[in-house]
Amino acid sequence: MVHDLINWLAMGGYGSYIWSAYSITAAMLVGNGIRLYLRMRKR
Amino acid sequence: MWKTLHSLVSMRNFYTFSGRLLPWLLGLTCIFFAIGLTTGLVIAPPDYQQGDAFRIIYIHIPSAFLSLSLYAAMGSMAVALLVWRIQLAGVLIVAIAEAGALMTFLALLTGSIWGKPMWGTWWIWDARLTSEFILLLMYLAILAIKQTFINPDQAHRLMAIIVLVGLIDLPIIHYSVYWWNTLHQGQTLSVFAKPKIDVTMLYPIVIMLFGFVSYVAWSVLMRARAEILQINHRQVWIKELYGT
Repeated sequence: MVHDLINWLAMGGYGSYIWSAYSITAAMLVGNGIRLYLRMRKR
Repeated sequence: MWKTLHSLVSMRNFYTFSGRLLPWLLGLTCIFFAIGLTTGLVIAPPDYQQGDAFRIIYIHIPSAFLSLSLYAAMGSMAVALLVWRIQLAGVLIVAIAEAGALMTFLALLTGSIWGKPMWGTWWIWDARLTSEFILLLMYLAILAIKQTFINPDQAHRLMAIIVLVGLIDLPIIHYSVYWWNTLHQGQTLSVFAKPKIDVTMLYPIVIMLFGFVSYVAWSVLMRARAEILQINHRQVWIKELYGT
């Protein structure tokens, strides 16, 4: 199971590209959400 | 008739109605993303040419689609503001511009990350990428106008005019892959034609698209509400709402 998980994370050798794209996207969407929530609270 | 139309798009009614929608949109976003990411990253098989690298498609296509759709929506808001003087349209231009800039940036970023292993380069000045980059500059210019003017009415009107000028970029982006020899591939999905992608890879794209649409709708409503509070902070209905 751990071996399968490591293979899945590796994404056929493209893991660094895929996970950096997804993590930057997630960070930006979550960050934008937090920014908007705090902006509303400030108002 | 105009009185009815204006009452339907009053800032107060919009503020009340949007407040009720927000939790539902956030819930839908989480559900669609959970299903889309599971099906896209785990269940969908690897591509026969690109292997697992193609999985960036599940964030690239929704963000690229929304970068264009949101600008088109801004265009209709610009007409509503300039022709029918609907003040809410000005508020929505501000809200949509922020979301649109984010989507355009994500489309360029994910495309660049996808391009490196597939094309061997992070960036190339081909027609699709260049016109999308110009779209990002348009979004940033519209947001810069908002920061420049203290009077929100003036800001909204000038933003609307700039939006209309920039609308020409949308068909250029869309048809760039047909008009010029581009590195970027042609359309994968079309309303009028059979999809050029296997159904097991297609479903996660559609689900992630719904997820992104829900998120953007939430984001636009949140930003619009903040703008309404800023513009109307002296209004009695705001003071009654927040007990100030």
